[in-house]
Amino acid sequence: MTTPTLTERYIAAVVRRLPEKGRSDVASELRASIADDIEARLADGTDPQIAERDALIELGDPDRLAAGFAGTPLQLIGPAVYLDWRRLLTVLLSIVLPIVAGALIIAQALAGAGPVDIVLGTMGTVVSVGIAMAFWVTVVFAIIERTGAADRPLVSWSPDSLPATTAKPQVGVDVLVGGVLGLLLLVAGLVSQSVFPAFRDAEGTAIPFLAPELWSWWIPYFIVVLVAELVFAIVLYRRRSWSLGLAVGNIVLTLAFAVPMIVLVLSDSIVNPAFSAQLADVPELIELGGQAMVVTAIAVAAISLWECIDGVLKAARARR
Amino acid sequence: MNDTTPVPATLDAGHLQELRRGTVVLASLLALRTPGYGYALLEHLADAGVDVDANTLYPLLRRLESQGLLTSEWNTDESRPRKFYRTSAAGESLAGRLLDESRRITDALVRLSEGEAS
Repeated sequence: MTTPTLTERYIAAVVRRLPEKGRSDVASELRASIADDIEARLADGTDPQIAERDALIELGDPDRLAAGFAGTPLQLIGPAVYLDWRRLLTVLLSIVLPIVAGALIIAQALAGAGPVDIVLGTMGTVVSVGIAMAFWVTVVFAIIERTGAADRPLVSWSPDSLPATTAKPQVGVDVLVGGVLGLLLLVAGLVSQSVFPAFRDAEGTAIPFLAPELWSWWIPYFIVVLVAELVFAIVLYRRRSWSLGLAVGNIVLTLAFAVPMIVLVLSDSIVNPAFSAQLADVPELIELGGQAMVVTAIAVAAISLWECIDGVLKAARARR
Repeated sequence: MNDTTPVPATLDAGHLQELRRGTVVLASLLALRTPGYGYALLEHLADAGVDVDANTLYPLLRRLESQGLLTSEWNTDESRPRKFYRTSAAGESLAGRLLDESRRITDALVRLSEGEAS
């Protein structure tokens, strides 16, 4: 007679996962099968303890065997509904998260929160909302997988559901619009600060918003960079698709604009000190201006980072 | 043309397993036209050249039983009670169809391999 403990523990571990009804039947059959196996091993001259261990090792993880008996899937979401899960999650996240982010930014701005608080608060909430949505969608699909409803996709596929975007050229007129708009905004800003100044000095001369020292180097520099970006946009538009070289050029131009801009903004060299002095009696405005500078720096960094990544992604897509 | 690019052993094993997967049901239905119990069937199939793991076969037998392709009966005559399975009429008829299909596939593969050789 062999020691029953290990075998009985194994059988108990298998049947506890099974519905009450079939348990004793599975247990009895499994007990006989294991005993047969041990007997055969003993006949080959194996030590009894080792024979039992080996027999159980061959049967493997009791939970896996139980899943075989019960017919339960060994995956959270199977291939039948995986694509439905991914599509639903993508659509939900891409619709809900921007709405949540927008609502949060507006609500916090109305409540008078500072720019850093707004950015951090919004990012934190958007991440937790995204995680919660992914969790609950996954739970629902795991239930669908386990109730046996998952032997075929929930939404059947037809050629009508093919995306329409593939026929469109990768690069549209919008790249030109962006390039022209950037240059126009700069020129308009430069002209308006001397034509429609907010403040004039005692002699009636306009006090420009931008620091006059910028004219010696930085304003011409930015004009050159923006013209280069416009030329780049024209080249891109004529090629009609991205390439690795264009992606690298895009990164160089974007950084050529963003890095000096962020440095100037953060070192407080953009605004004319004479202009700030006009505001000195309204401390709230000074503080608001400081916060606006931080927001501008973050926005320039974020947009530039996205532009660099976007170019690389589109170049990679165009290679396929 | 004789292309002898070496194939990794794991890849080989994966394809072999894929090819064998469906044959265990057929082999069990054929073997159990003579009643048998789990461990004996495992040995019987191994001797016949059908490789199957115990943890695949035991759940499979119960599944075939629940589908009405096998019938079962507990035999308590011997010292150790055992559950004996036997292929049902529905199981026999399915085994016939599976066997026909298996022969058809084998014939097709033979024709293809001969066609390539000539």
